[in-house]
Amino acid sequence: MSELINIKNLKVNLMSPRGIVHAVRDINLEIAQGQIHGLVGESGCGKSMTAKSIMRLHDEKKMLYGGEIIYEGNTDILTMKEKELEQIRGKDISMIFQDPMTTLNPLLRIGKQLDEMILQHEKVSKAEAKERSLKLLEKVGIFPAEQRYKQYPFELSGGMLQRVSIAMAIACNPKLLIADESTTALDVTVQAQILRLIKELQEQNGMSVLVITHNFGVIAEICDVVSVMYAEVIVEHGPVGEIFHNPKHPYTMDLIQSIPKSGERGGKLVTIPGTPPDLRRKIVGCAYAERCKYATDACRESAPQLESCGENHEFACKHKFA
Amino acid sequence: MEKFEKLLTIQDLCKYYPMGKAKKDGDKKEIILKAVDGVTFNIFKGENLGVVGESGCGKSTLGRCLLKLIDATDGKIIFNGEDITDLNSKGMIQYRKDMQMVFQNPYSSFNPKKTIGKNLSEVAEFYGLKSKEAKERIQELLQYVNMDTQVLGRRCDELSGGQLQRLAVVRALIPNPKFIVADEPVSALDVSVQAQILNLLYDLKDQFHLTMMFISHELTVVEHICDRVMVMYLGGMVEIGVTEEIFGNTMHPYTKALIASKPKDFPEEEKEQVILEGEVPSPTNVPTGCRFHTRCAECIKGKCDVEIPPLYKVADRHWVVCHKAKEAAKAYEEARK
Repeated sequence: MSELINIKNLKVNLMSPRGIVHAVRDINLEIAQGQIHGLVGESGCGKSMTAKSIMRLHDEKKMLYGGEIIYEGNTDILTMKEKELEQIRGKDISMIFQDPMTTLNPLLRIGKQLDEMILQHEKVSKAEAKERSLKLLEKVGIFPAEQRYKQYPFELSGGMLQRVSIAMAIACNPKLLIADESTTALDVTVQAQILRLIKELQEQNGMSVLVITHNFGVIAEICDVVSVMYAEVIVEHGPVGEIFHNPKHPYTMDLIQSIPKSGERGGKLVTIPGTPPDLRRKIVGCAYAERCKYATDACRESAPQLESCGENHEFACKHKFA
Repeated sequence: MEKFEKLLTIQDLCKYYPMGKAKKDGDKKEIILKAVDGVTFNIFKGENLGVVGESGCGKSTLGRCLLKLIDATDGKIIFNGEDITDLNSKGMIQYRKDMQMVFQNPYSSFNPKKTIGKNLSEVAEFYGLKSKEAKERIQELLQYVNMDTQVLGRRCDELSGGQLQRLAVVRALIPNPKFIVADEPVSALDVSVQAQILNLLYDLKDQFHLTMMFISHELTVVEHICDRVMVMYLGGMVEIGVTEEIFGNTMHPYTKALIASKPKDFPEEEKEQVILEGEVPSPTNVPTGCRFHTRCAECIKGKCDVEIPPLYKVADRHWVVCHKAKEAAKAYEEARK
């Protein structure tokens, strides 16, 4: 399996009135073809920042990139011109966001927005675009498509709108679909429907999916590979089974243990003391040392590097847990 | 029954919102949004009752009705043997001491222009504590939630969500209440902080002899900390029972679907695929008969869509509102034999 996206030493720094915010610090990430890759972490850990960098969606006047994002082994997304980016955005790489209500234009009919997407990227007539839009709506489970095509976003429920934004995202058969907390705003029953849909589409089209979430349940449900982020760096990376049953980084261990599991009644949950660090401060040593029960002086002095421990499994911690 | 002493009795509680008039089938009709539609249940002393359901099922409205933050349209609320349904806000003051609430979003539940100390002492003074007593009480409670008195000088934008939620719990505990409604208290928090708040609520309940109503859409959280669970759908109760019964001997098709659609705990877990199709109907147009029949896989045509199902007792402390409950319970009994 070859990789579709290879992120090398990505850094994202934002200028804020109160100083530079290190939103992403030195991330390496490979997204393989045809895989569902999970990126998990707490709010503010930089997971959305990483995802938006892949599509270059940041306001670039107020920020600086470092490192490279290699697309399909030859082009660096970070050095692309706006014209070239337009070719890729929405066509080869597309994204589904958290809130479907704000993703769609409230003043345009759903069908029109879908058509627009297709017409933008492909040389087809309007009639052909409409035909494809209708097929897409049916594919994502919106019936009757003909009627829904003419409706406005406010006439549909949150789950339906999320289906429409998925239809838009897959309109041009993308190679990578980024789902940024795309089920967080939905109810459990609708979440299950949407996750199943994403998985089905992935199997049909063979595309890669990057799932960004803070919910380990979502990861367990659909992902093949997981990267765990903490304070703007990846602390552990591995196949989903390994992460759940054989986590190596103390943060991953604590996080997995702090979630209540079904069938468990009462008793204490494992808690992680303290809060994530301030992003404006420069972090020396391991970022998790402040909250880690295994932290030693060595942890606070220099940052640990990602080390391999088994097939495709890497973690960044100075302690080696058997 | 000394063991199960009732603290709150809710009889046929309804909360309707008029939504104006609209043309329907030719003539103008009043549209009514039925947020809570005829709910009857008890809350016993010392228990933690979990209320689960999808968004818009009326669980938050129900919580607010119980505390009289909004007035119920119909029905009765009996607290500690006294009917509080028709009390106005003045009459409620003496009961407010006993009934408190913790809200979902900790950032919007404090006044951002005042320090935390001021926020808390105002509450203490409202409940008649002198400033010295108030100070002592707040300090005592801060110790319970493991926080330093330094936070009293801060404003809420200087604190994290987890810290603020702990302070919200402190504020609720100031008048030494008997009953707390916690409305999605951990939904706005990060996973690592969630566990802190859940442990805290669990401990405090014992320490202060609290009775709690825990509103949440997360089933695993409810299963973890609640003694009894009530499942709501579209403003109505569909199933209520002790936690082990609800999760171990699920009767209502909706509860089954809800449990089946929660994400897996582990990636290799095999689970039943009872994914619900479609979405919750609008509460302005509640289906006739059983309110769940439009999405129910086991719906009996001609019965479920016409007759309102009765409340059926499945087992000790386990009730379900379903036409098929009797058969299902029998089948379960036989399977167990």
